[in-house]
Amino acid sequence: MNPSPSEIEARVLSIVADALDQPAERVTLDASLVDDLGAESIDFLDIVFRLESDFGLKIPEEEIWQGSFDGVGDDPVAIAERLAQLKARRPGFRWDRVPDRPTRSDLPRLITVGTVVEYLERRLSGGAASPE
Amino acid sequence: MSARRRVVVTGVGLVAPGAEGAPGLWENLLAGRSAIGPIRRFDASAYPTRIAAEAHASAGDPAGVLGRELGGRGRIWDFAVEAASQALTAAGLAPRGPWAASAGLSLATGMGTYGHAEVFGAAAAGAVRGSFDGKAFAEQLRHGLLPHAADRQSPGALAARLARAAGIGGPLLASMTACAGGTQAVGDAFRWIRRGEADVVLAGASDSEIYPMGLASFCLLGALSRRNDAPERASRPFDGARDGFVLGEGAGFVVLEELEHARARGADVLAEVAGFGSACDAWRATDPHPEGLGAVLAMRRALDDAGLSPSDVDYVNAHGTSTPGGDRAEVRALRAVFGSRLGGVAVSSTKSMIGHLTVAAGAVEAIVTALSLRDGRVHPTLNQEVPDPECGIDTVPEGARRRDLRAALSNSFAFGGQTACLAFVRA
Amino acid sequence: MKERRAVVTGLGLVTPLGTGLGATRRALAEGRCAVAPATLFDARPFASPLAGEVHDLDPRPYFRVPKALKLCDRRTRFAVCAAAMALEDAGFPAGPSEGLGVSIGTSGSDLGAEELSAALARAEDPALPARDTDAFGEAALAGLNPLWLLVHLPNMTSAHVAIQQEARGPNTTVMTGWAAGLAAIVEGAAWIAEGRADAVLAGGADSAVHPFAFAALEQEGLLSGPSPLVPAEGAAVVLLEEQEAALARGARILGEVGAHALSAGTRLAALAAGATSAPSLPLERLAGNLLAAHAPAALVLALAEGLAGPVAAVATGPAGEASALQVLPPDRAARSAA
Repeated sequence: MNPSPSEIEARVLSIVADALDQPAERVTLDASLVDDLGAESIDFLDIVFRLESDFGLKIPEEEIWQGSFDGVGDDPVAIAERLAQLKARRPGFRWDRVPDRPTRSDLPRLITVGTVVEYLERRLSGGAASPE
Repeated sequence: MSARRRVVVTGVGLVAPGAEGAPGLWENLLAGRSAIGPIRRFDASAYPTRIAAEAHASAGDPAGVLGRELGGRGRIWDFAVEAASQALTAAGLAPRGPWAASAGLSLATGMGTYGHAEVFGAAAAGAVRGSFDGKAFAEQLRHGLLPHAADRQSPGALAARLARAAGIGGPLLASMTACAGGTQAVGDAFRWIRRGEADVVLAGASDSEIYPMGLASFCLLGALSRRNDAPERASRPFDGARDGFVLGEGAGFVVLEELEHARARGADVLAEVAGFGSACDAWRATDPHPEGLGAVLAMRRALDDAGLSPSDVDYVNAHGTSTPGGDRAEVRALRAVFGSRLGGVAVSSTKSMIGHLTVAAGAVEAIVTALSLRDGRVHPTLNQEVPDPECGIDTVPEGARRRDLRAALSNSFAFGGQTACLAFVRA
Repeated sequence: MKERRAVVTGLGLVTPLGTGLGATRRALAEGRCAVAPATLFDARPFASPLAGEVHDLDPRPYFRVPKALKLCDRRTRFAVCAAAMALEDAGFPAGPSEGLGVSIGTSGSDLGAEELSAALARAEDPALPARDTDAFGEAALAGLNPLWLLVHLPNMTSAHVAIQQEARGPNTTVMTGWAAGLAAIVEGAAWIAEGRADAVLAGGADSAVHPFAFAALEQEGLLSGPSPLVPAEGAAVVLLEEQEAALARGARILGEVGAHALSAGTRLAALAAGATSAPSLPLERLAGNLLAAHAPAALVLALAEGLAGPVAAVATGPAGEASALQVLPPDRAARSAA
């Protein structure tokens, strides 16, 4: 039986708080893992490992982080388009911190706790590993 | 104030992918020959990265220069003994000769050498019942322990035993600054000679991470290239399509000598070590400082130490691992140090052909840099196909180049943020 | 040109006898013994199960960025704590410093036995990966914590000290076996003399209370007999500063670094013979052998007593590694600066 969305969210928040050594009140859905919670590259690896262990899943590398930018590649026009879509979907995120013309290396900063929760909800509701 | 003592390279030796000995490696590098291929030493089909640059030592010490009692302790020891033997022979220094009692030894090596079954036999015993059984782990480890465990677990033991075999009785140091280690071992030797602690120092580094646990641990960090279908094109430092580094292995040793001491005995001089600088990003566990601060400090300190200015430098043997973030940070650091002059500096990465020798990289690359100065030639960086706007530097893409070099830098940077830089000048 | 001298201005210590210099000194004065059968792992299979373990250390207060704790094995935690203690003891100004270096000596690595076993535990037959490297690849890639390598790479000990203190001077991890910690202090003093650093956190950090260390020591015969070696753990870090700068900021000076040796030989013999030894035997009897951290710990304790005359700390190890360092009383340092 799959965990409910609120259960998923609670477990993700707890894992992220642990991995990044952050107090629970700072770990909100719109919090950027990098800019708000201090994540560095190895923390992304750590979080995936903890999620795999906790949820009993195999999470293919990169897939969970591709999330919003799956298939976009390096083309700045495509990146800008996808960014506009995201802004509409996630008004609560601190878009003022994102550079006007973000490059591929800026994208990890857009990953939020919500990104992780959404990915797991998709996987555990029986969805395909990659988003449609 | 007394005149400053000058330090020169009078002998080199190495074991590297595709070559046993400096002349063979140098020839390969100038010809643009890659030594990277599928891993053959063990079955790597389950790994996301299945390529590496494997090296081969002749069993033990073929020339018998350092004696056979150093065998049986794994590849790191074998590579070191062979490379050190070559360096002493090239320098015309016989082990236990009159030069040795006051000479020094400066070494950097990897974590230690453990047998796979030795460690994982114990781990399997501890994994019984799905939870950790520490007593079973310890019992199996004792049972399966291979000989010379204390030596294999201690980088310092190699230094001490190598010194004894060579008759070296002066200062002794073994360091482990990961991927900066090889450059640092040479730098520490240089410092001793300049300060008058010794007239001759045998300096070098040895490492091998090409075994199941080593490969797995780097794969897990996402650090390695996955271009398994085209191994020779996988290591592409500064190229826009780079996706991580390729493991290499081996050892490099140099004999450093005070200049007058070298002249007095008519020794061959390959190049002069003019300065050494080191620093630490003090930033993150693996991510380099975004502005390459540790790298900038190391390079500036090496230049100051050498009494050189950036405009004196014609060549940089880069750290150049072929990782997206690492190469970018190194370019930022090069820009900060060289400014508008950077366009006139040739920058090539030996790792594009022999992969990343981890702790040994800096030592082997120091030798390459010395040879570049000696011959007035720089080797290319392979696989420069896709421009990266963040890395617009001269990486010598077209093939080996002739260029009289006045001075050159060799860079090495480590996980954890340690950075090291050697400054060489033409002899 | 007068060469720059290094002086000792701060002390930090973590031993099985206590967290901090004060706690360790009190325990020594009371003759309290911390040697007991190991609890960090089940050492009963070994010829001697005795160990000196650090208990009750809460490292968090010493970490500016506590997130790094998950990457720090025991010896690294000890090193970061002892370094922070030394800086505080010295009243050294906090904050990023390009002139502050880090030089720590250590030996071996514990490789995380429990994590290695956990990686195999998921496999149907955990014994298979020990013989079949393909099966190993699958098991390790599926089950081993990706941070494993970073936790056990020896250079991370010095790196973490630098990260926590934002120290951007030269940085090294010395690994000359049991002599490593003392050799690290020699290196730190050399950096100051050469003008490569203005201050250095230097010392030893080690943890030998794990199966790999016990197995290697036992193979050498060191755990057998009526007086077996007692593997222990801890860290001893001193803050070295360039003498003029230390005097200018009004630092309390504990001693001046004098002669040194980085190997066995006449220089080491002279140092060992010519000065009062730093007392390492009571420490060994009551806390065990801290390996790379042992001689630095003895030196720290001697400095804390106050030097009546020059003191020499000497470290030697079974593979032939050796190091020695002389420290002179502080009034001589003040006189020579005048």
